[in-house]
Amino acid sequence: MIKNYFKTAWRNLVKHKLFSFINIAGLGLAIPFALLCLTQVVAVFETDNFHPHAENTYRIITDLKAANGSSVKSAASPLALADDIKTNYPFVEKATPVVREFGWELTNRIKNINVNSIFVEPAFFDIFAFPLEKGAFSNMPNTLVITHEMAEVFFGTADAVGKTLSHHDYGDFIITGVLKPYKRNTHFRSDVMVSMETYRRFTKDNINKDLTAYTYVLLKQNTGAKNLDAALLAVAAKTNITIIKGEPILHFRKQALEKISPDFEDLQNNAYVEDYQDVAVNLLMAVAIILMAGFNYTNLTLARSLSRAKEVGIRKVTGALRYQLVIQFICEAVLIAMLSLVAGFIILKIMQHYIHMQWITWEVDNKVALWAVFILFTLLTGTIAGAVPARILSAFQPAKVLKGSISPASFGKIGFRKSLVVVQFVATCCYVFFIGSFYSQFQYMATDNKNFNRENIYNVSVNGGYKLLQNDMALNKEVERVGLVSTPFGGSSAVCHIKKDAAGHNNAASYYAANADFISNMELQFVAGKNLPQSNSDSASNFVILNEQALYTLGLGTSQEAIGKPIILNNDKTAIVQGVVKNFCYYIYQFNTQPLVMQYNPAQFHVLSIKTKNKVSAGDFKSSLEPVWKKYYPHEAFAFSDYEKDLYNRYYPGADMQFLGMISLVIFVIAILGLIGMVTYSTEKRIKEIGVRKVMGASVTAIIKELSGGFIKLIAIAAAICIPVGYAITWFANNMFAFNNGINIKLMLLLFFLVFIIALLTIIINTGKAAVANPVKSLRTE
Amino acid sequence: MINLKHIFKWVTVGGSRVFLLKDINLEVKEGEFISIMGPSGSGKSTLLNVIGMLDGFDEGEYHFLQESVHTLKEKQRAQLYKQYIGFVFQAYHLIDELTVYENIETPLIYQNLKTSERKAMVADMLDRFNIVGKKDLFPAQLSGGQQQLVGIARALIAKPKLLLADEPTGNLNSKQGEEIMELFKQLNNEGVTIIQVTHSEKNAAYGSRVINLLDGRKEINQ
Ligand SMILES: Nc1ncnc2c1ncn2[C@@H]1O[C@H](COP(=O)(O)OP(=O)(O)O)[C@@H](O)[C@H]1O
Ligand SMILES: [Mg+2]
Repeated sequence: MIKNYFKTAWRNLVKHKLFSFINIAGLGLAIPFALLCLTQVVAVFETDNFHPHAENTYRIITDLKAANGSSVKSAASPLALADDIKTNYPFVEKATPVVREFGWELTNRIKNINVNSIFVEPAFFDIFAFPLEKGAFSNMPNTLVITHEMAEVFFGTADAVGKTLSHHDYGDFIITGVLKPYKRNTHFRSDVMVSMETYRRFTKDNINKDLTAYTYVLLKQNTGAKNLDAALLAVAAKTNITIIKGEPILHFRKQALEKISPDFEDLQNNAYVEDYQDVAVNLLMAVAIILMAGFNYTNLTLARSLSRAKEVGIRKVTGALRYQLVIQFICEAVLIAMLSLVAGFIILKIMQHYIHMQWITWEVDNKVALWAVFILFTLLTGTIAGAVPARILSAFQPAKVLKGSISPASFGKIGFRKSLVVVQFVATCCYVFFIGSFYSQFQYMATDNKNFNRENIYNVSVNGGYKLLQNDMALNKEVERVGLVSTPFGGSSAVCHIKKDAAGHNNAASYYAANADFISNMELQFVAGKNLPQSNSDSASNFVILNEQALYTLGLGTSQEAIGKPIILNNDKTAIVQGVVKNFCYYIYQFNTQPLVMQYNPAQFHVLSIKTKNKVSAGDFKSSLEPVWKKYYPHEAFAFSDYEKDLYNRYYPGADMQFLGMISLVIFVIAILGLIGMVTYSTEKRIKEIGVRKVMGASVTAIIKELSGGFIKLIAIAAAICIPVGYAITWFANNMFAFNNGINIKLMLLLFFLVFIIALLTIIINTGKAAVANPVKSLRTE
Repeated sequence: MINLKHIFKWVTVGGSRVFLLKDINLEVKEGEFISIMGPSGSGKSTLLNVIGMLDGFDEGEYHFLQESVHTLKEKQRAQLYKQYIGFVFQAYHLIDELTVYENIETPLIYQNLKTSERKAMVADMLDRFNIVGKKDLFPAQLSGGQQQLVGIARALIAKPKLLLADEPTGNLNSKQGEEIMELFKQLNNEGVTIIQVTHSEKNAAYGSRVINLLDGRKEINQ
């Protein structure tokens, strides 16, 4: 019987080509994005499935139990735990700690790049499968191994082993090895794996109590996991003796490696493990995207219901029960969905070829599971999209429909269909506004010159003596001024501690070693005091420039009052406030300003910040400076960068915006397709009426007006809803950024008009086609 | 077989009732061949639809075989219909997307018969109506008479006890009409109870009894 339903469904598809095209195209455009979301879900279940001893590998996680009975679960554990377990329990083959640290930025003096870092020990590589391509892992301090991909970013095709990368707090690192490319889906995701000795040397944590590490244990073959439970109880008891009264006590438990992802426990500190909420969000995204396209199916099928009504009547008269008709209509929807799946899968493969984004997983290991999920999802899509029309169509009374006494108006669901059109356009507009706001913000971040000046600035990295180079470069005829700075704005900065006086408590502040010319180059706005004094000294001066936030944090009163006051820098040095600059964004636009300290400190100058008099070609300018560089550093590469371009690349997420833009376009196209379908079917039903009107002398414009009126009203309603909703969305999107450029009214209006003008054109063109048709033809076919 | 008692059917137009059927009493025995006649708009189709359970009524009792139709739920009524009744229309009402073969097969699909059984039954029917050569054509490729033959074949395929025909020859020329009537006569002889609506005295003559309707009321027979 099902076969029969599909046969009829197929014939219907072939016969109603426009209907089929709109539905398959709409769903086919939406499906790749849904498939992508589903792929992420499947991938979550395949995280870390490539390690050799998975069945004997466990992570030790911690329950922190407070005195009042409340309990917090953390994926982390103390750093010392691994050593403790390994030395005291013979059934443990290996145990190793891993520490993850965020906010790393490494530089090879040419490129500053944010990297993802973990600290590991040699045993880590015995338990987990991260093979090296070149070199070896050394546990010496300030060494690291780097991923194949990141090595390429820093050094291109050159051999990375033996090269140096610097970190502003840890100093220089020697690269001792390059990792083979490994599967992205691991909670050890990182660009560099740094020697644990580096961490041990710098850490000020209590390694017995603080939950700073992750502990992994490999049990000997055939060891009962129960032994580990007992051991963990004993270790925890030992640790808890040292816990001060009032602090939470620790309870350790094991978590099998396969059970780490997804996280159903809501563990804290569980970086790069997706929890069930992420899984749910991905599923919801898939459903939301598909719903938009599903609306079209529902809507168009209902719009066509009149032509299907007769068929329903006949089938009922030949003995069809209602449920049999419901199945038939659902089969049709499922067939459409399946065809769309094929189209969608092809589009997905094309997308995979052209889109390169870090946060997207394209391939999973278990293809069968993936396809099972795809097909199940498609079945569900078809069933849901087909359910409403199936219910309505199958309810037709054969006596009525066969007599022809059912007119379009007697379908009670017209309100429902109209609201679907409105919902679709409102949703499209909301999404477009959302993406538009982000686009506008990212553009602002990428080209901003208001927070600090990027225009006509070129940076040259130097290592050590810079004075001769600085003076020589200042002689170039294009150069206006050469500033000096530890690291340019727009990246992470070093941290210092400031306090009001010896008795006060320390506050963390961003620290920039800079000279007066750098501050002039950046065109910072002084609210009080003045720039640092010009200096060529080799030692640090005790004058500092603060931002308003630093004054506020220290409680130094108004900016005028603060000038000339002393503060204590890094516990022991007294510095005098020379000037106060307005708060500005020097790193991440989302966050509020941190306290900022700028001091003349030549020991930390690493970058020449060169301002040119006029706009110059970066290439020409570079070639004019290169000989100067070669004069002083004949064996080192000239690390020159165009600041404006640098920051553009840093702040503008090109691939992501492209992807999000594509989704907007798809959602919009789906809405327009739906509208085309609705208009076409509603005018088709009135083709005879149009003929009669024309014969009676109605003009084409009069007929277009008559036909499009209803739709234009719907679009107007959608537009009216979109204005306040869109404003709210834009406002919300903007306020996710502490530093934003306000609502970009021009762009939003442009997007708004684009969406609705295209919608109106769609209506007018489609009704116009019906209106100019030869009336005699349509009347004769009756 | 059929027993209608005091059947009323009305619609409410502007607050007042307009009667489509008024106090219809009718008894039909198995094996009868009845013709319903009357002017256009007198309620013939309405009555036929009520008998065929395609349409409801507002008052009265309807007994079909052992069942009291007026007490049945929609679902049960559909089951009863499916088992015992075949319907033929003036406008044929074939499904345009299906071939002759598939149109005739449709009722069997809804009876949940196996493919092999269906094949045999449809083949028999095609044979009997002499339309084997047309089985792969679509309705639009047939003449009116041929379409009506398909319509009748479809109505008969599930072996109904009662065949209802609403002006089955209304769109046909007289020769085609005669053929259809001969066919009905033959079916009736085979035991199928037939109720037909017709405007033609000649067609009515094929039946054993005539019911005249006027304004939804049964005329007392002459
Ligand atoms: N649902 C309805 N609402 C209002 N009037 C109806 C309805 N169905 C039928 N009628 C009217 O009832 C009368 C009988 O219709 P019908 O049974 O089709 O007549 P006929 O004898 O020509 O077959 C007609 O006047 C028709 O207009
Ligand atoms: Mg009639």
